[in-house]
Amino acid sequence: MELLNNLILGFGVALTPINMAYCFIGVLVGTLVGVLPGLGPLATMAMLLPITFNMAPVTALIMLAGIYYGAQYGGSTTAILVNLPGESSSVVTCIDGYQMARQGRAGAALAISALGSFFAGTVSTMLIAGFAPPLADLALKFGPSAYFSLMVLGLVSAIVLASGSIAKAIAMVLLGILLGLVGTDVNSGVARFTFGISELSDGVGFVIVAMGVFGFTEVIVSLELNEKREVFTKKVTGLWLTKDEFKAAAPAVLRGTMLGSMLGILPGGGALLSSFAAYSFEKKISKNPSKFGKGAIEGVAAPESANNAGAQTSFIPLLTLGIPSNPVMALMMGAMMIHNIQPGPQIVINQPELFWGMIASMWVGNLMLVVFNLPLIGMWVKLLSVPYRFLFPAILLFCGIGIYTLSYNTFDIYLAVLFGFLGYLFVKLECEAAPLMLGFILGPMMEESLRRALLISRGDPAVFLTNPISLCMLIAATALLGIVIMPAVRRKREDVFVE
Amino acid sequence: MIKKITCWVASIVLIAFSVGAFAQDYPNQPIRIIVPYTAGGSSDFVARTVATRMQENMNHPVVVENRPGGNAVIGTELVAKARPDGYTLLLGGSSVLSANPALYNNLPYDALKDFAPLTNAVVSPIVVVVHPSLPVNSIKELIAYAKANPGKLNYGSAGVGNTLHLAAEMFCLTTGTSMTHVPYKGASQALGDLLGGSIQVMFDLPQTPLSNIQAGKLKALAVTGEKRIAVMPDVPTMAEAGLPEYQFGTWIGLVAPAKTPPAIVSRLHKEMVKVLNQPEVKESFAKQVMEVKASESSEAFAQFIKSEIDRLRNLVQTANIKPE
Repeated sequence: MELLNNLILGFGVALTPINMAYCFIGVLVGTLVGVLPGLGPLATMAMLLPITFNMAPVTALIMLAGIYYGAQYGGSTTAILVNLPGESSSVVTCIDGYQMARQGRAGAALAISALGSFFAGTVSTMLIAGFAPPLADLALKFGPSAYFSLMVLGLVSAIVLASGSIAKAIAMVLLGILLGLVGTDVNSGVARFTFGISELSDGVGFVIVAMGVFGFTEVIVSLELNEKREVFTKKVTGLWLTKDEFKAAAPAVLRGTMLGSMLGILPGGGALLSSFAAYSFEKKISKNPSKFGKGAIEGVAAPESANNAGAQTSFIPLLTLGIPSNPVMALMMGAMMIHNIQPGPQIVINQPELFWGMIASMWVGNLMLVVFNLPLIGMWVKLLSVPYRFLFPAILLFCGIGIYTLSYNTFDIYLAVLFGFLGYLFVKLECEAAPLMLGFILGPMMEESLRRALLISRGDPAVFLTNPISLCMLIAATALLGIVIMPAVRRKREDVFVE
Repeated sequence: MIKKITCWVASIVLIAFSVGAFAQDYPNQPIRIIVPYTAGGSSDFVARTVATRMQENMNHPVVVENRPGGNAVIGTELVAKARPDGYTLLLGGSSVLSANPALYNNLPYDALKDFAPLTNAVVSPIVVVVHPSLPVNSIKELIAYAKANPGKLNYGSAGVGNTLHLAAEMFCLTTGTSMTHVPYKGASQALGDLLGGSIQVMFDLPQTPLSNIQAGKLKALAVTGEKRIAVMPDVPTMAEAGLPEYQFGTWIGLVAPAKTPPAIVSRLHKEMVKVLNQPEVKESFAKQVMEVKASESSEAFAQFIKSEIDRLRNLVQTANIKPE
């Protein structure tokens, strides 16, 4: 009953005209920012921060939060239409979403993205409302050894991500890990693989690699093939989901939401990891894994729901413990500081209308987003019929601008172009980019956790087995590895016997 | 032909005007304050507050630009190499202007020669927090525990060579104890593990763990500085806790590129000190446990920076801290 009272309080705050207006502005700006490749919610929120000085604290936070989860909605649009991830968390959506667009199913892909995200947003908002403190405590139990084992599990599932040869997938994961190692090492302060270039001392940015390997590569490949792109719009068989697609996607949305909500709480994880995990999970439990990578609707529904759920639940550590779990949350914390609010365990007690108002407005924002995005699907699909010779310069231009806004450094753009050529090489060699991206994210986190766990245990490796969470993860990882490798081994043996 | 001549004359006239722009009074372009960290941190907060107020007082745009990266080196280098015309300033603090020079020999800037200091803005003490499961309730007990279990305690920091790391090392040096350093990518991550119990101790700026201390999830043992912090009235100072010889504070100030004309330097100094002395500014900083401490003059600030670098260089050499 207390929950109901709190929610009423929250909605009372969220549904005032001014808060609703700023919520709308926030999600609108967020969607636009999400659609534009490169430019992310972090840069936008930083730019809009001064505007919030004269607003009431709740209003300011509602707007900023709206930008963040609005960007998750928007990022999927370009991922589906032109294989360009607008947000780093939409990288996975590119895989099946773009294939769906090529088959004329762009409308369905966009629709399920919006619907799945809305469902995920609703569920995760309820989770935050009901279980924020216990979830936060659960997140605290993830010490370095548990993190390491989670990353191992994630890396094993990266092999699942690939549709082609397993050897190539492993190679791409390793290459991704190597790329991720560039930068300053946390545990020793030494700069590795930076060749003295100070722009590389923080590592290669994920957005840069994603833009290069997905965006620029796609432009190069499309121009080479010179394929007739009318096929995209000619074969458009309706802008909505068929009944079969809906039936297939619904459970995927559910699973994606659950996975995303759980992973979003962990600091460092957030929306990014959740979309990868959801995709791998869907593929692994699917009765027909070969359809993934060729336009399976579950491959769009699950990651999209997961990344929205992850984005919302990543507010939990900030609102309950005062610990930001990613740079966007750190910015929110800064915004709170500017308004003289101290995020932490006291917020729920001292400023309940702030806490519950924010939570209620998250749901309101999600509603606004789905109402706003669904009718626009027709317009987005029309975009596909723009002749490619106009489309690709626009893509390149927006990518360039977006990358530049990351650090105001032209070096980043050169780096992205380099990755574009690299991605082209991968396409020619029939290697997939998705395992590379996953290795790139997980590798450094895994190394950091490994060394930290060993540092704390004074070099005793048993710590990975004595920690219960860590042990569970490692067992799951071994089991998954076995399941993945077994069919390949068995098939080879059968080939040998046939000989 | 006429058209060509007209074009030439027009361009020359325009160029003449643009050159003439420099001769006008300062300021006639927006002033940028570069913050070498991402938006949302305490440095960023200080910069934005000062910028907004300066803009109000001077009736002239003052904007904040975030240029994070490379352990704050990238933004700092930018200002070190910027034109000394008073339009590009740096918000630098103890990490950028005293810790980095003490630790690294090959920085692309020289903290003493490449900058014209303007004024200090705020100072912040360090608080020693421990996980509640640790059976210590005061600094003396912590020292005793650490001496009885050398190397057993883990303390977190925001990175190798970070001021929090240096603060802890100085403590170990002063008290003759040894604790194991566990670096993280930022104080918030370290705080997360401290709450979870993986690490037991942390030397941190007060505002980060404040709400958790108030909620009882962490124990604060002592604060550095001369007086107790208003938001943590039960936490004794180092002197009260029996360790007056350990002092460590962090500071945030503003500098301009070297060779900035002295007239501009003193104008900026005046404007900034005016902002810093405003009661609302003092109050909003105090809420984030930062005390306004404006320098009396730019030269005084320059002296202060030099003494800080020397002090930390001494610490780094004695404690043998080597990042690279």
